[in-house]
Amino acid sequence: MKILALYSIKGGVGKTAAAVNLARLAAGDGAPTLLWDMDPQGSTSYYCRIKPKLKGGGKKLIGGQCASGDLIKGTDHERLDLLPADFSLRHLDLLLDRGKKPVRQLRKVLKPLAAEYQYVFLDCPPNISLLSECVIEITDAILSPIIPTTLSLRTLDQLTGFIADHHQGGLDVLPFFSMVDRRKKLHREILTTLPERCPGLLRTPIPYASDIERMGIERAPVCDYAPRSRSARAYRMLWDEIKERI
Amino acid sequence: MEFIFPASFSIDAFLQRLTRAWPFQEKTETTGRRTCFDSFDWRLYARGYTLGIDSSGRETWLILRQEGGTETRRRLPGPTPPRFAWDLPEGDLRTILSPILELRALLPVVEIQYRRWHLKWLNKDRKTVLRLEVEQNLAVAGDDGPHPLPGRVRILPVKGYRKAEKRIGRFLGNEPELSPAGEREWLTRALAALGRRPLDYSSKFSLRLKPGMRSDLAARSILRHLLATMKTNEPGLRADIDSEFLHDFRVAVRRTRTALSQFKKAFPAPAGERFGVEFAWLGRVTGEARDLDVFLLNFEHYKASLPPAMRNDLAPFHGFLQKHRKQAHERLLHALDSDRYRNLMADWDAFLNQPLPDHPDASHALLPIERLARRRIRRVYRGILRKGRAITPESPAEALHDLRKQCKKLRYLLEFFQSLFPQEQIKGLIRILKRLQDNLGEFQDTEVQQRRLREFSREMIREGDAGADTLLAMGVLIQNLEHRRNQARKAFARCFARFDNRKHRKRFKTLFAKPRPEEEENT
Repeated sequence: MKILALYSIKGGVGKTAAAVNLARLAAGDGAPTLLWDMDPQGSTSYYCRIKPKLKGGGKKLIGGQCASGDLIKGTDHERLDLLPADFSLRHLDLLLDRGKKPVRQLRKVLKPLAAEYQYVFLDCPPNISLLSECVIEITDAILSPIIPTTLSLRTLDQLTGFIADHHQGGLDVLPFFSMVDRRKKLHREILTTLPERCPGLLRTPIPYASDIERMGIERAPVCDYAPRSRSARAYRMLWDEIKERI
Repeated sequence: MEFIFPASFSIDAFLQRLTRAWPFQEKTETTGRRTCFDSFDWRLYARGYTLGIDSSGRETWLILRQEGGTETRRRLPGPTPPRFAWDLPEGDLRTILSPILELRALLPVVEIQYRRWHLKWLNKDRKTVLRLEVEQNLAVAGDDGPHPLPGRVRILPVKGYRKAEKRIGRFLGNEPELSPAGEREWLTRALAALGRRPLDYSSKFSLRLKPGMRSDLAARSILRHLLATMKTNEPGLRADIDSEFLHDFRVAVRRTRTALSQFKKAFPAPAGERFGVEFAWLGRVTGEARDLDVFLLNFEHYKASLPPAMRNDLAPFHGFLQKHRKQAHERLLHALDSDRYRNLMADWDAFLNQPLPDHPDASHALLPIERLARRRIRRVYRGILRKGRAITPESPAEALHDLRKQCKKLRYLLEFFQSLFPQEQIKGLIRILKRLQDNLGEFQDTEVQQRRLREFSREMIREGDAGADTLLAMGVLIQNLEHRRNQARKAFARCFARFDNRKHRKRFKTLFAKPRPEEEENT
């Protein structure tokens, strides 16, 4: 089982859209896949038409009183399941902090699922917190969307610094461009200059497109309602690239 | 949960009933082809697996299902099926299939055309809570055109929505023409509809004998069974599908020779002698191709035994082996097309099927087979103990080779007669014997391979195939084989002592003891 975390310190960078689309593509390739919506806003759950609610709340899930397998819901897509969000996940930091060994608690949630799923995508909330530290410990790769702007580049530096401080190595950090608008000069410039500075960067940029914004209306991944669109093709190429790198 | 329905089932009426009773709001239809694959000896079926290639539109999937429902799938670049497990891309499927299939090729078992209805049950948020597939099947190949096969209904439950699954399960359970059964059962029925039966071949010898049977009759049943094995393997051997057809064919020839010599007093002497000579010939003419097969099958292993810098030097040797393997196979086909082979098979078949005389001349012909079995096993076993005990560290290699032959004879006898004795005990004895055989096999095989490698290197020089580096690498192989041979020779005393211990001797003795006089009278 490979655990891939969609993580960015900054919000609104296309993290959830990427998580849903990449997980959908993984499942479409034949791999049993789980999406874990860790963000209390529950956007991933909304896209999957599943209520952002966990029986017993985040407390029982993290505390181990409720088996993670019992809380999982199947999505509209074969082989793609979801561990939904819950509003109580806003206190996930506190819950992890309250118990002993927070990393182990998080691992315990996923351990029983190892035989069942080939990929687990974690849609993480945007911040730097105890949860992020734990996620960095348990994942095989961090997929981090970056908008080609100055501020986003700053957060990328912060992220790599943060990972260097909290992880002993062996973790793939795979940033990729997201919400790219080629009409903007700054976007075009950063698109050409950043790859030299950041060797881990994935080559496929995800465009800023209304197709992706429509996910909220369609409540489905782009490749389902606009399979031939530029965005769907970009996610496909990105996923192929990720598979090669992990 | 899966159900099967007969080919005559009216799908339209069923779909109407289904959609009237339940809120299935999306219904799509696909058509495609599915080919089920297995090895010639049904390795997947025997372990509860079904493997199929499903092509619909532009998509082709390789799908492995296990009894009980788990499914592993992989998209294939095209409809060409992988032939061997090692042809599969790395991943789950290869990990599961490699140890099961080993050297066996995948062969199509049944090819069907399907029409599939996909139904989705949506809740008020238009979220899928259940998927259902209804499939109508038609066998593609067949002498008399397409053949309707049983169809299937599969419930594809969505995790976390148990209620819908239970309700639809109950509904389908009440449909009189649906019977709950998985894909393996479906395959069994589909094959039955085409007049085939799964597990109709196994390389293991298995024949049920009755203890009181006349020995000549029992011996014939054994030999007929072996002849059938040869005939079953012949087409695959000719077509060169995988190396195991030739291997199984040769094992059947060897077993036939052992049976002829062990039961010679159950047959008229001249017939036994003639066929003995002919099967020895058949063993010889099939030997060359098998030898080369063994080298090719071991090639990766040989390569890995070399220092990394020398491994690529062996490439010309691989080419040489392939070239000669091809020629050997052609020579083998030539032998199988010869009058000698045709006559042998026809005469042997006729001999095994001629009526049994009421008063045969052969002295053991009328003996109950159980007595002959005990007697033969006892004799060969005693011979092994005698010969094995006489072997000292100074004994020549021939002594061990001779012992290996005896062990093979005992092994075949135990296999021929396993139905006459308690199965578990026979299996235990075969296991004990096998350990000794492995040691003797390693000793002789490494010697034969060294000799062959020397011959190959000389031939390669003659044919201009070998450079100095290749010859050096082959020299290292010979050295490695010599090391293995010495190890095996050193281990022999320990292996034999384990075989010849009191506990095992007692087991052999009790199982194959001569019947006491009063018992003998009763028989």
